[in-house]
Amino acid sequence: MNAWFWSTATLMATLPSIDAPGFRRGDPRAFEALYKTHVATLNALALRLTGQDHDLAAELIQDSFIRAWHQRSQFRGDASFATWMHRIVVNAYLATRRRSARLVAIDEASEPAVESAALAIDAASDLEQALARLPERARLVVVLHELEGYSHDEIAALTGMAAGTSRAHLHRGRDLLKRWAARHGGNP
Amino acid sequence: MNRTIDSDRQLDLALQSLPRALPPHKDLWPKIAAGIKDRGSSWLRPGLIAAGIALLMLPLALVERRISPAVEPLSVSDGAKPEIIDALLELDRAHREILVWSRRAPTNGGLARMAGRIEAHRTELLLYRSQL
Repeated sequence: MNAWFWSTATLMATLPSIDAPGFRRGDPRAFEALYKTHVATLNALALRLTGQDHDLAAELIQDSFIRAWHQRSQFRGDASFATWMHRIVVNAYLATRRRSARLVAIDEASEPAVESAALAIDAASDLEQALARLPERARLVVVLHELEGYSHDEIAALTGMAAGTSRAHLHRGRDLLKRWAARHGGNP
Repeated sequence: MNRTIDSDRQLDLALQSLPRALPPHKDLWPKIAAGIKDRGSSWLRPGLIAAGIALLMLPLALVERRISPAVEPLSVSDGAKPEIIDALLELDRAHREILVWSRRAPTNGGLARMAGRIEAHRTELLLYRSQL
């Protein structure tokens, strides 16, 4: 099932969409078709970024599609619609975090201690839940790097953290998730 | 060492097998459709929103940064040009304060200080203008 989802999502992301030209011309029907094609993969990203907060993820998706519509003149078609939309969702999420001053200005001390995060993650019933329980910035880096394929330099440019800091958060996040995987046999 | 490699591989496999697609619990399209209805050109609407927010924020900023009236009388050393004084006199108090607030680093001599005193020294200011 998962393999089917993955291959379909990958195929959609790499193929040029027949609805993209209509979207660029401002055709709402073409846009709705693009929404239907891509909403599930974008929602997966939004859910993981927000730590499985379904309401916040839904808001992110709605805001991102509305933003995409109003910025459609900037979509030149040299990237796939999926790639373009993924970046809009990530940017919208980061903007939300900046507004609530919980990412950029976050104090390291305010993040959960490694041990308490580890305990919460150990108790997670599946990998999605374990991901959601990672400290916020570690989760952000794990999602962007491991699942979305962003480089550390790209993450640095997007978030304002140094590339080295991104690597450190990835290391921290992976260490915590490895504990979970070892305990649960690696079954997501 | 092997144990580390195993746990890394185990985690990689687990991450790779996560679903790439998770449909939302509810249909999000109706709100999106409402949000994309044409409400002006794409550049004008954000501009209007930004202007609206700025107008809403200004009173707060003014309360925080209110300039206390100074006590010393105006003098030529304030260095403002007559046309600027005229313009200041034409403005109501709120707009003068906005002007002062927006020019916290005055580029025209003592304009900011003078404008802050304009209420307390309106008569002196009129006299000052007549002497220029």
